[in-house]
Amino acid sequence: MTKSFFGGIWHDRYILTSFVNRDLQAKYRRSLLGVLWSIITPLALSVIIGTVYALLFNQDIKVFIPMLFAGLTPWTFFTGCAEGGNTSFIYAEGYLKQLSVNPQIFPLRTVCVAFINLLYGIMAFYVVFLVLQPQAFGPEMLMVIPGLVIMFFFCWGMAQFASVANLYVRDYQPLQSLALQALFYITPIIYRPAQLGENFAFIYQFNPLYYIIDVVKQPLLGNMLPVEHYLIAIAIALAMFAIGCAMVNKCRWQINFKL
Amino acid sequence: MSIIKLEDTDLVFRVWRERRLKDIIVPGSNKFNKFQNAKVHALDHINLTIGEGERVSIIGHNGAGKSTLLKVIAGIYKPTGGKMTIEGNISNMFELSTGFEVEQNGWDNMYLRGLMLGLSPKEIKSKMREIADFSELGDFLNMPVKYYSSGMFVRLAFSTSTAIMPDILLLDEVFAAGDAGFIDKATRRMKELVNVAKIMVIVTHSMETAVDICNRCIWLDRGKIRMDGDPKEVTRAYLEYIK
Repeated sequence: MTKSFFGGIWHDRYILTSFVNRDLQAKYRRSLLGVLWSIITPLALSVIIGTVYALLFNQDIKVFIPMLFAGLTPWTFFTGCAEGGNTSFIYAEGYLKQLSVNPQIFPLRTVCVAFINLLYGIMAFYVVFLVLQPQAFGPEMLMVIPGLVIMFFFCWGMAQFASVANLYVRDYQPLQSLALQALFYITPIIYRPAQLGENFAFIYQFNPLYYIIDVVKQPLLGNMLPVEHYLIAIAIALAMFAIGCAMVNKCRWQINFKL
Repeated sequence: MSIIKLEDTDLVFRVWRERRLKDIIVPGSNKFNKFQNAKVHALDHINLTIGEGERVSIIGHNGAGKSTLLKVIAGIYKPTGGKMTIEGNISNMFELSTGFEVEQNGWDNMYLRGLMLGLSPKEIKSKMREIADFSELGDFLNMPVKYYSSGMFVRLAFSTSTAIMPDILLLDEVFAAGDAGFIDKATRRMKELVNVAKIMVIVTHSMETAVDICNRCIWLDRGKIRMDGDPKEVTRAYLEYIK
């Protein structure tokens, strides 16, 4: 089962890369700035939200903007995968129903496109960070690489979960949108975990997304994370990935009937 | 050696009725919809062997299971029962104007379709000129396919599906939208393909096509093979039956 799952992806690797290329090109078709938007959007967003919050809550802009940016970038990747996963199979109906292409490449396509946009976002982050806090740069930042790998598998699992769930019950998509909104506020992105205080610490301590986001966010900011934190994140990511793969595998031959 | 062998192949669709909250809360709100969760026996224990050199046409009324049979052979649907052996690489062309990236031009779609039919990027690139020539689409290939007519989709899809020299070619109602010139050309190509000892299976509603191109004809009726044999005899029997 595992062999046919990954073998199928390998078999259709050219189709996958071709789709990813197309999606990236199509995103900025007829746009003057093109791919620069992938950098400008998170940059401008962080400056806008950062300035407002910094003024409202008397935060230091130099600290607050990077913190927000470092959290928002992986968060956008996660929501992009979860939202895009909903329609991965639905948009591929034309291919799935008439060519014998392996369906598991379509959620992966969504994840790859979002991941490349995440890399652009990280580039934009470093530009801002270099201006605001050049002293924070150091070799610890390399830990962002394992963090990205962990996050990739988590989000891939999530995209697969959403793609199958939404195929069976179309109510899943609006439900997930709501859940994501709620998750955004209970995950420390626009605030620091410490701001929740002792009594509300459980809100992030039992939130899997906190660990997943943090393995990317903290290295971006030049902070080291304890090993336990990585172990928890890896366990969560593997569990999500396994669930996602199992779901796609299980309904492999139902997809065409459900579309 | 190419072969298609179906032994007792069975396919049962499960059809789910759309259920809304209203149907549960308001009793009787659904009284006009008698359709319940049902099973459709699309292919009913089919036994069929198609060997090299055979050009088979499948005829039958709408909903007889013709397209489903092709999709099972193509590996798009998995049979729910029985055994199926397929040897040889398959190229197929089914529903028209789906399976295209509408924003992309003809060349890009040709490339993508080639990949999906199992070619490597190198192989498809080397064949693109030839496909373009056969399709006679010329400058239209530089245009996004969302502006294509259905006839142009047929040209693009057919040219690509047949250019890869498959062992097994599966076609579903290809000629419904092509113009007379292209149908002629395509018919010739289909005959050529079989000259190199390959298998072809087509679904058609045109009895002339069945007799003209094929050397075997299968009449499907409610998922069962009703008649199998010489195209002239089978089409005659079919036409008499539907009168």
